[in-house]
This record gives sequence, structure tokens and C-alpha cells, in this order.
Amino acid sequence: MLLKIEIDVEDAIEMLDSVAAVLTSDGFADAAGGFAADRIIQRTLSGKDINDNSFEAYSAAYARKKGGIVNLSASGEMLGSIDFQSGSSTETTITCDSDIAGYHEDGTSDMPQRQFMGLSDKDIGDMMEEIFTGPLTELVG
Amino acid sequence: MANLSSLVEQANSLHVSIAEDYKQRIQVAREVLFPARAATIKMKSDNTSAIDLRRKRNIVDSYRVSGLSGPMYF
Repeated sequence: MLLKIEIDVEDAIEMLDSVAAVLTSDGFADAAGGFAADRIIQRTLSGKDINDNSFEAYSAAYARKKGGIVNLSASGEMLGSIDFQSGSSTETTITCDSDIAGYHEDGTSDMPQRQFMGLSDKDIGDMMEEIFTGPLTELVG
Repeated sequence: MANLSSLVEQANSLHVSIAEDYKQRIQVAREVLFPARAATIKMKSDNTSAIDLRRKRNIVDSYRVSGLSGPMYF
């Protein structure tokens, strides 16, 4: 009995070209930056840190004043200052232009550390789905 | 079979669209986050205006009581 497997080389080449196209697209870094900045804002607002753990609770005095979920958002100035700039097609920088951010990131003698500027493993997986797998699926059809 | 440059163009267009979508979301989040702060600033400004108005009325009343006349600036 003869077993025969046919491989369509053209399909394979198109798949590899599509992978190359997604990775070399000029908009790759911009899409990554947009996703990351938005994710940091949304995740922080939901009360989760860069490891997807809940932020440490506010002190009793501050909780009485602010109340609600620990989402590092009082005036909105800090989270509202989060932005991104893409230096090239392969590099993007997420920024947070607020003095308060440093206190949260590092913690102080009066405040516990609440890290929010970064992506969790889940965030990175979601980002790859959005900027790599999604466009690749569109290209390959 | 699409050639590589055409695929790169399509991928770029998809990425631009994704980036625009997120820029829009970030802008919406800012508009949702900032109104509370904007309202506080407006309230402070309104209070200041109310105080100024009362002060000006007092000045007008003072003029009337003392019988002084002259231009009044608001």
C-alpha cells in the first residue's frame, strides 16, 4: 500500500510570509503600545497589580475618606497621564507622568508598594493574541 | 498567492487600526477619570465667583448707605 501525503508548499510559504509581515509591520509597536497603556489603566482600575493580584488595602483612615475599591484613582490625574510613544516599529515606551506614581511603584514608609506600571503574564498573552495572532489569522484567512 | 509587500501593507493597516482603537479607549478612560477633578475645579471657581459677587454687592450697598456716588466696576 502506498501512503501519500501532499504538502502544499505555496500555502506554507504564504503562512511564513504572513508571519514575517505581521512581525515587520510598521504599526506593530504602536499597536503594542496602545494595548499596553490601555491594559495598565483598565487593570489598575479593576484593582489588580502587575501580577494580577489585588492591591494591598488602603489604610483605615484613607479608606474612610476615599472608600470603594483600591484602584489608585482619586483625582484620575495619575492614571489619566498614562500614555505611550513608539520610537520605532519594534519599540514602544509606556509613560506615566505623575509624581504619585513613584510612591505607588516603590512604596514609602507610610504607603505599601502597589505596582501598576507593567504587564502581567496574562496581559502579555492577551497582547500577543491581539497584535500577533489576530492579524495573522486575518492575513491567512 | 499574495506577495510579501502586500501582506506587510495589510498587516500594517490592521496594526494601525488596532492602535487607533486603543488610543480611542485611552481617551475615553481619561474623560471618565477626569470629570471628578474638573468638577472640583469648577466648584472652587464657582465658590470664588459667589464670594466675589457678595463682596461686590457689599461694596454697592456701602456706596448706597454712605451716599457716595461714582463708577462701580464689576
